[in-house]
Amino acid sequence: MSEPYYLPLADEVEVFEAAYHSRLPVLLKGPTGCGKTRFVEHMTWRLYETSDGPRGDLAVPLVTVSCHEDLTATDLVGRYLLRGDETVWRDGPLTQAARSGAICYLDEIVEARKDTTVLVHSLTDHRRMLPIDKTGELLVAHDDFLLVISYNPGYQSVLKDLKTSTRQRFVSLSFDYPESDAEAEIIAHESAVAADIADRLAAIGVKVRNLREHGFEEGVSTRLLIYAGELIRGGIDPRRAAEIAIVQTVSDDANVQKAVADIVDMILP
Amino acid sequence: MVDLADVERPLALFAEGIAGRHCHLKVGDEDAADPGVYLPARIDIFDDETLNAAIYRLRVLVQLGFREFGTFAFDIDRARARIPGLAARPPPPVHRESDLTLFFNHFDAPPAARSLFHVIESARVEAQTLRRYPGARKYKAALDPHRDAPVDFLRPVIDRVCAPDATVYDTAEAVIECYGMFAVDVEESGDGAFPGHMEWAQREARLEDWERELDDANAEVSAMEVVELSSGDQVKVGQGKGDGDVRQVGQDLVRARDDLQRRIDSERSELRHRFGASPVDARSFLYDEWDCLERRYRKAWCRLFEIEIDPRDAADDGGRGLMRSVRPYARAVRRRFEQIRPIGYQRIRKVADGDELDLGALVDVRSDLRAGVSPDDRVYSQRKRARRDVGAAFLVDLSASTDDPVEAAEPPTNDTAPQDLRDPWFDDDDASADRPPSPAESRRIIDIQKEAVALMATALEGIGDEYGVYGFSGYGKDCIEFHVAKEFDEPFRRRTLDAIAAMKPKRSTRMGPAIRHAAGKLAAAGAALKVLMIVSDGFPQDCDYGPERGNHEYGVRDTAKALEEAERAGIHTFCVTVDRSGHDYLRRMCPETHYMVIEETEGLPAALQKAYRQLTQI
Repeated sequence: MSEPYYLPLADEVEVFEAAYHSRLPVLLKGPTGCGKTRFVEHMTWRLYETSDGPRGDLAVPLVTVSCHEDLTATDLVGRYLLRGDETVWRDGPLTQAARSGAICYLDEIVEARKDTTVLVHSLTDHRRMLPIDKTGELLVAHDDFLLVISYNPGYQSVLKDLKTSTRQRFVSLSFDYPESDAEAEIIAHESAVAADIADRLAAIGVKVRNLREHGFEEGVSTRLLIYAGELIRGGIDPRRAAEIAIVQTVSDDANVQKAVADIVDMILP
Repeated sequence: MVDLADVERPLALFAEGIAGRHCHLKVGDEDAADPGVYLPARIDIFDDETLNAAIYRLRVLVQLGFREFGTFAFDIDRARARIPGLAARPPPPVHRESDLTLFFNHFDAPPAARSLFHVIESARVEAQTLRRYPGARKYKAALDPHRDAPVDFLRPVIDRVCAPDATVYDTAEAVIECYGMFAVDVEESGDGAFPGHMEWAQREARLEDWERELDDANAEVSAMEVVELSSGDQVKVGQGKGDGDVRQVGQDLVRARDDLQRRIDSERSELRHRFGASPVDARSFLYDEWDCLERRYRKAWCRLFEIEIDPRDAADDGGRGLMRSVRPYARAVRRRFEQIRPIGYQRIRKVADGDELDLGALVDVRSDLRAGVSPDDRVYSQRKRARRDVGAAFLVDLSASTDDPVEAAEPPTNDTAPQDLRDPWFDDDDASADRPPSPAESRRIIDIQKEAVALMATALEGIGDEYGVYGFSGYGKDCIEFHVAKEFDEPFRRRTLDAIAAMKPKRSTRMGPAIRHAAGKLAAAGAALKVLMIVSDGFPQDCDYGPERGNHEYGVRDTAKALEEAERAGIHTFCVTVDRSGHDYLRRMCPETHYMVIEETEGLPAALQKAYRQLTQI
């Protein structure tokens, strides 16, 4: 596996490494598409792929689960499945990771049902274990196992806030969209567009995010800007690409769309 | 031909995106000192409409460019240090002026210098703007044939200030260079004078700089205090006897910081005084108004400012006092509201646990088992109380007349009084002489309005309906105030009660725009059942609400129209008034089932609850 690209914006790499060495569970906060998942991939690569020990040989070093409101504890821990005329136990992703010593990344954890969030409690304190009630097993997590969760404080309602008892088990790293220069660098790297186009796209990002409050709370994500870049590199006219990836995506309000389109029109050459 | 009114909304958003803060777009008159972006009321240069609209955007970009490209960052001391030609001139006396004004005052004829500066600086800012926003070049190219070219003698300096690294100081230098030669010419041509509001904008920007400086100074002073403490000296900076360098430096720092603080305070108060009419940090919205005489909408006629109520403005004990006065009733009201039956129960199928097995899911499990595949283990169904999906906005009239004591609602002896009492500009010396002196704890209409709303809030918290609490007032069509005590998505907190308690009688009652704005908020909140309740104490009226002040027909008709628009948007409206003569005009404003006139002001809370329960009980 090659190194997943990640441009550090502050000390997050060092912090995560330190957290990993003490096996402290990590909570990543930040708006959608700002690079949380990529960061976890990058850190897994740093901590696993470049390791000389047995960690380096792990087949699946990162287990990612995108949480949704129907996600149950069973989905995470595991269930009995039928095979022929017998039932066999099948580990869920969380159990798998805890057993093998991988990093388990629960993306958008607040989306999951409340019982799911409580499930991780015993894994995230000094006990580091996971009771599997269906098999009666008390799984003690592998030494290398680490739990990482992410959540987006912006768009969830108050009802969907993370419980304090859950939140307090994690060290928190905050993410936001990068500064204009760094973002341009990321766009240029990821979408392989020319530097000046990347600069322009990053400038659009800054201006459009100024309109965050109007119907779209998050502004345009770095991911969307990269998409626009990829379309441009694929031969689509920059204006059209920005329209598809940015203008139409950020808001459904006609006035806001018009304003965003006008900003794009002025910034693109 | 494009009217500003037609493109105002997306254009304001565009400006906000570019500037990173809300900008008030205003028509014409650049001499006005209010902050804002000034634009012509209509642009009719090209046959192509989209091009005319694009010129609006170009003008917005260039005007915002003055801030973006450092015109307002002009600092007179730095200018004198950098420009020998300026340092050679004697400095003008310093009053409280913008640094740009100080610069102009270096010349014998400041207006000439100011015109020259405007011409050259505009060229510089435009060049920078086009560099940063290359998309604007095509519009500028289209516009150029329709504009006057710069005067010949200015061309060389303009070329120079259009260089990528030119700053406002290069402009200043160019002004000095050209001033001696051609001052007279420019002075005589009156147009193109540097607009007055720019100098205020410079002062505003300078204030922000000073505030940053103050932060730095504070940091320095506290660092200095730490140094002194760590050296074992327990004396605070600035209080010592002045022995030793460190202490001397410390004292100077403190003095400089205090000076700066004083300067900031006085500048801020002057700016506030100047901009008083349009609150700088409030968002503004334009609304149409129905003109019943011409039977058409006046486009983007009223400007409404949305102002968040500062809970700290509440009188003495604020929310606590309000709480005290509603507490005796709160429990009963809550109980009465809790009796509102929820709309019903909903059965949610296929869940992991619940109160009943889901037969359909079980059949699926059986068939899965037979087929030899793993069944879904979610075989229960759950009974859930369906959520009441109600959103309500309470719109409280904060006109001056709500300051009247409740007793004054008795029929007054003076025949003309009923109307005039509600008129905030009526010089009511005579009328007040007739009024009984109010006892110290006499309650005013506003107090009862606030209690009614606070009671509603506690009740609605009990049943979980979403609601917002707003007040409205204002003076004139360009300054309608919409005060926000609680937004829909805000939880009910101590702060909320304080904000309700901080509602104060203000000026007049232009109801139309306030209703339109509240209706917009309701629609955005997105509840299935939307209710707008207006609590007022008199008919809609404002200084320019209609052709003549005595005639309230115009205002009544506009309000009726606004209510009608809201109804059409699926909002249930309801007016509650404590004005006994309310029947006269409410009948013309809304259907009989949509309003209520309360005889005794004290009965307002109960009436409001009753109306709300009837409206939302489906």
